Amino acid sequence: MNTPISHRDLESLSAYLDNQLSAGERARVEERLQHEPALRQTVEDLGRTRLALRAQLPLRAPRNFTLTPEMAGLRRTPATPMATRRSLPGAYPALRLTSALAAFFLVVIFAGQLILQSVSPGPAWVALMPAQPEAAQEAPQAVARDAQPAPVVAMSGGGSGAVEPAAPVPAPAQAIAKMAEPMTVTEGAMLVTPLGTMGLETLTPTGALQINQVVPSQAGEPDVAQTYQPAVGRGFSGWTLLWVIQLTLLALAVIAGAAALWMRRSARL
Amino acid sequence: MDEQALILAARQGDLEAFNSLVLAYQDLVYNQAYRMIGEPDAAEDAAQDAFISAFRNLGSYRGGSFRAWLLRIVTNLCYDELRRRKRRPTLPLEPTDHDDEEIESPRWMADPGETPEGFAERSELSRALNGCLGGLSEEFRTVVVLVDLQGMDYTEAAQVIGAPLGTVKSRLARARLRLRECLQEVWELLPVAFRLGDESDE
Repeated sequence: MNTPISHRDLESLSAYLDNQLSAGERARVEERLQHEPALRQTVEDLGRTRLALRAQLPLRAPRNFTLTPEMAGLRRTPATPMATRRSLPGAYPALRLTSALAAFFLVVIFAGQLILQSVSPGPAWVALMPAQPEAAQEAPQAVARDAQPAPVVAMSGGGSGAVEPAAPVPAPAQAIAKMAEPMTVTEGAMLVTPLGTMGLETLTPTGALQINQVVPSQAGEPDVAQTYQPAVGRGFSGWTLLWVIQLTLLALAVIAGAAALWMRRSARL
Repeated sequence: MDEQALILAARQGDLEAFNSLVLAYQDLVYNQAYRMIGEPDAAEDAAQDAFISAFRNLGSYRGGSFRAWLLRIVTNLCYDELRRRKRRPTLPLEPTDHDDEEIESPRWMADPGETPEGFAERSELSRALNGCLGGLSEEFRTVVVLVDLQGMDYTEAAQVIGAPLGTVKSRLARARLRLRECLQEVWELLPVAFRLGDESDE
C-alpha cells in the first residue's frame, strides 16, 4: 500500500503512537486524523506494526555471561610468559654466532689436518713440532761447545732444504748461537699456531731444522730421521693439542647451537 | 547493593560486583545482539564480548543510564560483526523453491500448513518479523529494536546510538514504514489482534 504522505507527517504519526508529541502537536495530529483518511490509514498500519513488534517476548540469555578473572584481564594465563619472550632476542643471536664460528673453525682445522697428512705422510711433521724446541736448543749448545768451524748454515730458510756441505768457514760460536735463538722461539711459537700455517712453516726447511740436521751430522751421527724419532713420545704431542682444540670447538658448536634452538622453540610457545 | 554502588565497586576492580550487573543485564544485552545479528551463536559471542569490553572500559562510563551505555557497546560490536559478514558473505537469507529459484516474497516465512493460533501464531509472527528486521539497514534496525523490542524511550535510544533525538524519531518512523511494507503480504496470516489493532490512544 502506497500512502501519499510526507516524511514529516510520518514522523509525527510515529511519535504520536509513542506519545512523544507535545500537547499542541498531539492536538493538531488528532484534528488532521479526523479529516484525512490517508493519515488515518497510515497511523493504523504503523500502529499494527508497532504492536506486532512489541508483542515479541524477550529472549532469555542462553547462558550466563559472567566474567572469570582471566576474561576480565585480572589474572594472566600461565601459557604466555611474555617476559621470557622479550629476554630471548639478546642471547639468541650471540649463541647462534658462537655456534656458527666454532663449527667453521672446526671444519677449517680438520681440513688443514687432512691436507697436511696427505702432503706429508708419516709422522715426520708431527714429530717435528715437539722435537724442534729441544733440537733448536741443542743446536747452538753443540755448536758453541765445539766452537769449531761450522758448515755454512742456510738460515734463510729458503731453497730446497738440502744441507749444503759447504767448505768449512770459521765462524764464531756466539754468532751461530745468536742466529739460532730467534729460530728457536719461532719454532716454539708454531706449536700453538693453527696447523694450516704451522705445517707449511714446519715442512719448509728452516734454519732450526737445518741446524738440527747439520749438528748431528757434524757429530758423526748417520741418520737425520733418527734424530726425530725420540721426540715423538718425549715432548708435548701436537696431535693431543689438535684433538683438544677440535673437541673444544665441537663442544662449543653443539652446546651453543642446542641452546639457541631451545631458546627459539621456547619463544614460539 | 544498588546499581551505582555496584558500578563503583566494579570500577575499583571488584569482579563480583560487575558480575552482579552482568546477571541483571545479560538478557537485555543478548536480546539486542540477537535482534541485530539474527543468529544465536554470534549473538552470544557479541554479548560476551560486550561485557568483557564493558568491564575493561568502566573508566569511560560517565554516569547516566548504565543500560544505555551497555547497549551502546553491544550495538557497536554488532555493527562490527555485520560489517565483517558483509565482507565475507556466507548464506543468503532468501530461501529457494523446488527449482532453486529464489523466493522474493516474505510469504515464505509463513508456513501454510500451520494454523495461526496461540504459540504457533506468535512464532510465525516472530519469524516474519525477524526476516523483515534483517532486511532493514543497520541504523534503522538498531532504533526499532531499541524502542519497540527493548522498550526504551527516545532519549535513551538517542544515548545508545549517540545521535540527536530527531534522528531517533526519523529513523524509527521510516523503519516502521518499511516493516509495515515488508509484513504486508503476510499480514492476513497474522493473528487477528495484529491485523485489526489500533492503539493510537496509548
